Amino acid sequence: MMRATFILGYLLLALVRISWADGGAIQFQGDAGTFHVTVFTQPPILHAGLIDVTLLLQERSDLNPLLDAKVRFDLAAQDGAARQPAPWMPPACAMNKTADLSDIPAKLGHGENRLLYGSVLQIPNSGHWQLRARIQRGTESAEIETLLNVAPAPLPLLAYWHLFLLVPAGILGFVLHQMARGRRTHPVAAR
Amino acid sequence: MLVLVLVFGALTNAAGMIAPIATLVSQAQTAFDLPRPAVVALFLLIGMVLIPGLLVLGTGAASRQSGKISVPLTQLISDFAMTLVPLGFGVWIAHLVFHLFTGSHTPIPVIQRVAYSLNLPFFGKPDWSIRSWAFPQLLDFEIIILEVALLGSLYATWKVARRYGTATGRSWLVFAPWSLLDLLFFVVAIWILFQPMDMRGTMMS
Repeated sequence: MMRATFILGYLLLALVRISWADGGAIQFQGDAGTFHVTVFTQPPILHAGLIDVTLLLQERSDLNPLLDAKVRFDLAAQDGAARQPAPWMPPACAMNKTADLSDIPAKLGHGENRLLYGSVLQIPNSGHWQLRARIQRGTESAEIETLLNVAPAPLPLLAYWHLFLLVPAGILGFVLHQMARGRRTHPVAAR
Repeated sequence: MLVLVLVFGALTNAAGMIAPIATLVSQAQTAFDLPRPAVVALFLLIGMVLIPGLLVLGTGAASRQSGKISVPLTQLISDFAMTLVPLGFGVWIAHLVFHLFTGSHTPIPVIQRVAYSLNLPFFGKPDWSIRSWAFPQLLDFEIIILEVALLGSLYATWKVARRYGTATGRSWLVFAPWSLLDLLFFVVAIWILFQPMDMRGTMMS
């Protein structure tokens, strides 16, 4: 019973990060032209590296979601953020990085939530970054701007420590199993 | 012997593609004034034969002595070499998964390049900066693959150690040196995963 609880607890903690739930922090919410715009970022506390930016576009009058617009993001460094050294990135991302942080298309259905326009942006450095979203829907267009406060990238091992729990958990589970089996095999010796 | 070459070959092959090792190979080439194929051959020899040989011999001797085992060292090493197979397989899989995703769209510019060379310009000029299926969580999956591989190797090591140590009651002492080798292998593999790739001969380097 204890082992099952332990395994269940570990799985719940391990799956939080890859669960398909909506998350993130609201970085901007307001009206722009005929639109009502909400910008989310994931993770909620931004660090240099990859961030997921999503935008919910709604009709200003009735707050109906609008799914036929074109949305583009521009990211510009403020306060000399661009002059800092580039942080460590996962190798796959380092090979596939966003070279230009302007005019990045935000695709509809980018995440699990089909109502959001979004894109993964790679923030090269910590500091203040201005995020601009340009929205075009038919003849209507609008722009919103918000300032992102980006913390320095965490050290690689600190960013991935939770993934390394599988080995100690596996070893502990095996040891507990062996001990339980030993008690079953030699009940007298165990007492 | 072949098993050990394939297992440690996984590590050497992956290590040869990361920036720190590529820099080291270049420095060795300059320092010893050797042609590149010779330096690469030397690196492979050291990584796949010399270092693994010393490690396995040392581990085998330590395990044999601490477990007070009377079987020949070569037989002991042969038995425990098989326990490294899950780790070697894990490194190969993690490495190839990386290439599968980061190079997913590479056939497109290659076909464009071939067509361009054959004066068939309807495919357009090759776009070597084409995107790929690589995604930020790819590293997470690679780490999990290696962890499962480590657990598999540790389990296999324990089973073999039990076989040798049951008679003397020293299973743990037989197991300990080999489990340390498993852990060392895992740590090196993780270190490699965290390094930037150095894709020689491609437009990305």
